[in-house]
Amino acid sequence: MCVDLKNKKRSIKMFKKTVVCLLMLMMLLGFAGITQAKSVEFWVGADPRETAFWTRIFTEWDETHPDLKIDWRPAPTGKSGEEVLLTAIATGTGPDLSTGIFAGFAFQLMENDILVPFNKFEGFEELLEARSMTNIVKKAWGYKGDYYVLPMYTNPIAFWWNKDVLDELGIDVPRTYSDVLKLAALYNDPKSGKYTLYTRFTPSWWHRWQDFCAHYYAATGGKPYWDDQKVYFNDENGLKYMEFINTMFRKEYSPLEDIQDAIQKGNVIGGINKGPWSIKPTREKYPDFNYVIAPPLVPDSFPLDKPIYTFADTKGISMLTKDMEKQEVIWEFLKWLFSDSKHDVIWLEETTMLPSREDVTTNPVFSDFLGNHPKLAEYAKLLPYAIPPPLNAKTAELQTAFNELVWEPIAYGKKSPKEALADAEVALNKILQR
Amino acid sequence: MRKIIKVNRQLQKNIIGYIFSTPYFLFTIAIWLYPFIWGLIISFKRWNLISPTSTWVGLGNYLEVLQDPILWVIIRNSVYFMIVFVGLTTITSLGVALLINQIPKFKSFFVIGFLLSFVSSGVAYSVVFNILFASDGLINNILNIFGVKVGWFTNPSIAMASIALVVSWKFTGYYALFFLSGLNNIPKAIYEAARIDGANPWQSFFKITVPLLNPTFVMIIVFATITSFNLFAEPYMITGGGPMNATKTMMLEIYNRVFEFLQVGYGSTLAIVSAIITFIFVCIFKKLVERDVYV
Repeated sequence: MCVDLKNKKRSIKMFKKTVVCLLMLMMLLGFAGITQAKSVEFWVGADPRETAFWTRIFTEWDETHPDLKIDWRPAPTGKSGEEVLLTAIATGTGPDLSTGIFAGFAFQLMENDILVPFNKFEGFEELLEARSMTNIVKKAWGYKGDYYVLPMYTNPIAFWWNKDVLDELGIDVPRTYSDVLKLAALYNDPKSGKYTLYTRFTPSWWHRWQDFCAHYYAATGGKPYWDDQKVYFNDENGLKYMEFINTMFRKEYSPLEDIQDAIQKGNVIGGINKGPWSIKPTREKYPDFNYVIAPPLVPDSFPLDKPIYTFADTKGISMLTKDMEKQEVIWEFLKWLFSDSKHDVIWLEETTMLPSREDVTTNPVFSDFLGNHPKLAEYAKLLPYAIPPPLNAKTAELQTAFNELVWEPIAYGKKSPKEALADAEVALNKILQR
Repeated sequence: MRKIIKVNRQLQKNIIGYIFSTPYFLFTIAIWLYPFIWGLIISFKRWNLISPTSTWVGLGNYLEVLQDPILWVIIRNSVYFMIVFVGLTTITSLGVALLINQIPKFKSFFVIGFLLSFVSSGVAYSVVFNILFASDGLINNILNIFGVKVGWFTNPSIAMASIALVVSWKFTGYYALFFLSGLNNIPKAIYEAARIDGANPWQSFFKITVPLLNPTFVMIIVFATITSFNLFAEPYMITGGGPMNATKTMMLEIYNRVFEFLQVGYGSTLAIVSAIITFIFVCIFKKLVERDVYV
């Protein structure tokens, strides 16, 4: 009996020791977390071209500012940068500074007090002036008098046309919807995989920027397709464009599938292209591909002497940390980054995306680079007419609904353009009012 | 005294058992119970994921979900997927198991070979199948020889069936394992007795093998039903839920609502509703398919 009691006491003692050891281990790990030094965490785009840019930037920054440590890394991969960043913010693992912020996403973050306004820091106006982006920022990135995003780049959405095929057919670069229909009558042959125009990508909501928004801006001279109160796309211009799209699909002038490099591979003569970042990989993968860059198509009645507007795929940098020390480090970094135009030349070299500056086509610092990159220079000509998306926190939901109510029913012949646009107007206005 | 000794020994064993079970209980509480309760509470609120505050809406989210036409589209899609997936996978995995069962040597090698598809990354093989079934992909290039072209993922009528084909490829080897185990548990004496009584191979298969594999069929149908309502990676990577919402699944809708539209309350409600619907379907199928089996 005494032996059993002793054994029992021994087991309870062992159990208590185990629990105490585990608790101590947990405390030590927690303490290790607390004593880790605070450093600024900066997420950049996961694209290898952007990573190459930031590598060069931080090599210089670390040499010239060894006391101001910034830990930068590509953002975790996901279907979209916005989803990744939102998840990180929700779980408390978000960065202090992040790139890849577009206007609608910034609006969502601003409304929830996630972002820190840059205009509260000394030297804000001077920074805008130094980078020649005062009008760009003040026009498109303000929220209740504050500015929470410093735009990094602006990519105008443009069309690419296969120059060799157009020359063979003896046709000029198409400008209007009718020009494309005439071209299709000469060239189209879906049975042998030859289509005329690439009109859309995937159901992903951000592809509406390319396949609808750019064309609405083109047809209306840059008028918004919605604001935060109501939609405007159910008008003569929206209807004309979607009737054109309807014809393209009914007559099989456009493929229904998302085809990788459709224009470069010759599946289509032309169409909307994803952006100027395609220039470098196209040159490498399809060196013999001869193409021209043109603004989006316009209705037949569009005046010849009016400029054609397009969508500006533009994203920027935002500050998320509320820590004052980190804010100071970040502000020093941003002032250094944006005050030297040499950094934007590096950006051009590594990414072939246009920096968000008003003087890209006039500043001699960039003229050498653009002179050696004529395709990018074509995109730069569209910059003054490139308009960013409207500030709206429900951008993803609105554009998803637009795809489900307008694009797909028309592409698959389930609704007429008039019916589809009318249904979408009702549904999207409901979303905006909610 | 003997009772005390017995109780002490039992107590010792219990304590050791609790020590070893504690990590699992903590894991289950952290990974399952806590998120489940949190999700249930959130389903009664309106919250946008990044705001520090949320609004209590009671059953508002549940009423909205039940009145949303997309819910019925998703259920229809999931049932369509289930029919194709269960039918295809049951036939192919049973076939694979029967074939492997005939192999006298190196069975494990073949089993592992078929299991490779199950362990491969959903994202990776979705990309591969997307390229394979593209309009200018290998499959359509072969079909083009016969003057046929199929919009595998662009035709709303067959897009979900194409997704089911892809997912069947993944699960065939895995379910074949279950069938193989079921086949090995059928006593050989029954087949011998049937042969003596004059039964041919087809009769043996339909009168002996299939009925005695009933527990395996039930298990696979239950797993396949759960898979049908948990489908995410393949529609996410290949079709994005299109065309015309033909491949929109419950998990995809939950993901879009929470991470794209920031409607966390609605997303949580969908998750609860999805669990209830899955449970109902599992009960229905069990009732229809399950039979008592005596050997």
